[in-house]
Amino acid sequence: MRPSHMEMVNRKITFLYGSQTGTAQDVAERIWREARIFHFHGPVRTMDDYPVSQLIYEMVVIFICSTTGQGEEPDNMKHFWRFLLRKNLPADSLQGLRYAVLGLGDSSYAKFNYVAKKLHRRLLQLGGQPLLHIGLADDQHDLGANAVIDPWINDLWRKLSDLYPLPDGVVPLNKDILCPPRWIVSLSETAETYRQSSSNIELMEAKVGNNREEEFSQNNPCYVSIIKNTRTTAPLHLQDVRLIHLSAPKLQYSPGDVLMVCPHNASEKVDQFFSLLSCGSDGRLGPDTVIHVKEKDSDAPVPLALKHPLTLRRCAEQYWDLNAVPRRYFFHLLSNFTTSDLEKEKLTEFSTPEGQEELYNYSNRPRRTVLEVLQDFPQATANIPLEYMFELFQPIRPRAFSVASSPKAHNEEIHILVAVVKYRTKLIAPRLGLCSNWLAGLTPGTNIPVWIRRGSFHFPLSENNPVIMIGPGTGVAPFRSYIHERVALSQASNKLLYLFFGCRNKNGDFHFSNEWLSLQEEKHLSLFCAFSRDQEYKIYVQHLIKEQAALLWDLLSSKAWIFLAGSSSNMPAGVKEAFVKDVACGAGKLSHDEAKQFMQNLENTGYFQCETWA
Amino acid sequence: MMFSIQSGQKVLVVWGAAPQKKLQQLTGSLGKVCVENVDRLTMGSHPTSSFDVVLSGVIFPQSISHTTELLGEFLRLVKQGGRIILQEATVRNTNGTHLRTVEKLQSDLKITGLINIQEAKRVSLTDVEMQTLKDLLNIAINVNVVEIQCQKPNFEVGSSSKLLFTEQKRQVKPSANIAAVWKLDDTIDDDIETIDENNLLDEEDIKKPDPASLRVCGTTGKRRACKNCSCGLAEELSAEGKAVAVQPTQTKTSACGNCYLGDAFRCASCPYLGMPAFKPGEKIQLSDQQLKADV
Repeated sequence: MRPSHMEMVNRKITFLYGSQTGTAQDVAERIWREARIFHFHGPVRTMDDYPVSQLIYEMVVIFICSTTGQGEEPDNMKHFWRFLLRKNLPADSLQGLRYAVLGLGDSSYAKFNYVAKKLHRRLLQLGGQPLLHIGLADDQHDLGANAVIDPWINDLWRKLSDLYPLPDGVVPLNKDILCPPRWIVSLSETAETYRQSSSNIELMEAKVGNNREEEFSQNNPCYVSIIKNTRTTAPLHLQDVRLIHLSAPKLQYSPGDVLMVCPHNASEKVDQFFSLLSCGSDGRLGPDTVIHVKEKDSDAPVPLALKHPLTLRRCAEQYWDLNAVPRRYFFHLLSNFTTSDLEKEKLTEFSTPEGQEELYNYSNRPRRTVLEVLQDFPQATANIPLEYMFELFQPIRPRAFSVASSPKAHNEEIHILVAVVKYRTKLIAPRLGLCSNWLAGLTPGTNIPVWIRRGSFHFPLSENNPVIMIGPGTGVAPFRSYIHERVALSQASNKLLYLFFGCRNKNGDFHFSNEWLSLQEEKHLSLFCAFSRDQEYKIYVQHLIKEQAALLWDLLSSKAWIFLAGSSSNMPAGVKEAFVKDVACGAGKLSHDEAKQFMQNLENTGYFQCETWA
Repeated sequence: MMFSIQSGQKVLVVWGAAPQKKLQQLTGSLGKVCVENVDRLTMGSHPTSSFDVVLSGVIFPQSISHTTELLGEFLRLVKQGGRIILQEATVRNTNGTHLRTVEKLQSDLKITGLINIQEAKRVSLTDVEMQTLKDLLNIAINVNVVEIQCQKPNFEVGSSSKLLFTEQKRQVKPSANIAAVWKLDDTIDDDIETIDENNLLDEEDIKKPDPASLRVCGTTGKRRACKNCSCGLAEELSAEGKAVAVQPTQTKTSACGNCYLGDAFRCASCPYLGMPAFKPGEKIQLSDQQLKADV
């Protein structure tokens, strides 16, 4: 017996998440699924997708958020969070709200779970009532985040069941039964229907030049073509880095902005996927099969990309991430589909709390991909029902690249610097980053969908203050954009622009060396370089900071701006420490506490800005 | 100095550095009273919700600093709707001191969940008392001792009182004033003033978990591979950190006959570890690296 409609109205829970790589989203969707067992219902959304002004009317909201970068909130909750920080929000705004916060983080970072902690506090400040203690999941735990997540979720259901007991005669659902898929997925009635409705989409894609002038976004990408795709690192250098020139006459951007790219799965992987499916009992699931995806429940709307009928090939190529590391729920689903007892036993084991350690060793630690797991469980793969494919496979996530070109200097072009991700784990086949490898393989003339997102850097408009830029490796990209812009405006001088660059070898990965050296010659730029592996001992950008402490202190005393960009998790901390210890304390003669406060003030007032990526 | 204590109420008196005589003077005048030193408070295992009133730091010298942890304990000890009355030394300007301003103290009280926070009342001290207090707190500037009363809400986090069906039906109806502020017309919010989010965290939030609590098994010495390493250097790490059972033999042989099934079913000494599943009987080329045991 289910609760009556009236009773269900009061069993609404809203699930809001902030997720950078999809982990928090995965956890949010898990909690959302489990809620149904207790006859709760409600939408699961990113925080930015949710109209924040509605929050004052909600009764129960569960927040799931990770901490990313240098202690920052994920992109898809930035606006929501900014709104919550408004000073003018009354202290009793959320007095009708019961909430819970689950944070995902890594305690090897200084700002462990800061995002969740701050969110919890702010909600409390605004009058919200916490349902239970904050959950602080930690990747550093031997069993990973689930060591905290699993018991926290159990506590949550216990608490909610106490506060909102089920009406008489209604009992929780059996949690071992397979959760129904969120959408209705069916095979197309006729090929004709497909051709008619899809022709519009093909047209839109084919007409590269005819892009709408409104703002471009994931739902309305701009098609740009590849002009050049060249390797910037020396042939024998261990890392392949690409400088990609795109023709983008319609894209407006400023230095500091970021180009969003949505990659496709490599065609060999797509072929492999279909050859695995073809062993299956359902002979209809081939690349040319056309499917419809329709909404079942308003809590789970169909995304724009799936609104029109489309082929399975398109799903496998552009929508499903076959390169991702599958999560626990993936194995749970497969355990329901396999016809092999051996497989079922193993897949079930992987979905139990006791089997988490083994699962971690099997899939997370070696970064085994979805496709590789499907290969290891052929019976399960052969029997995946069509409608569950969208439960198993997650959508490909767009990636962000700092724009390396200047609007004024590189007219109608956009350049990006891409480090190709390739590394080894205990698996024989090397691990390949989906987006970087896809971009590396693109040939001139190919069109790809992209859009611009505002970066977090606010570069100074005036030319009065010195600008200190620290950008080792690919971190130099946004600074190339800014420096060339200044040169084009005739506002570049070596008394104002200071670039600190670091890489491994002067002759290996010294990105844009020709440009920097000529700018230095022409006195447009002061350049300092650290080549970490060119000598016995390591030299990093933080050593350069120390060396130039007197100069830097002088510049800071003339209200210089400091910008830091790059990809190492240790580098930002190392640079900040060098500023505190060597510049502010050493050259500036401040006490340690004063120096820390001084740097903190620079950060608070926007004179010290960081943009780092994993 | 009676703090409006009604007869029969159970009172907890928390003291920092008070001389015994003053302590006795206060407690003698109250009814049922428990006395605890602030440093020993968490050791005394008083049951939850056992006091009507908590008086903290109300005896000269007012040296107690009401941390989040301490306030949390008060919240636990006092009954629903119970009162907390505290006195604390505050300053006007926090530069170089460990004391708070009155505003920060009130804000911190709010953050812990206390309600009905009254206006801070000034506690006057003689010049001699002021100097003694300053010496005790190791502070050079004058302090302002304030007394603040507040209350624990009636809704207990963690209580399991079931809500009536009628209560459940109640919709959340925020006041017009609140609704007006929570509009989204102004989506370009660069100019709207925000609070400093760094102020949301205190020292406890900054603490990281105890590393010992993260370990599952001490003997295998498992180590995480650097998950951000994506530039080719991870080979070194994965070569170093593998936690595979060491076999004394020189060549790897299968111990279970499940080689073709895939890593999920293979034993630790399988020469095919790291390769995909294959058909039984299929010829697979193994590299030298795969045949050597991990030592």
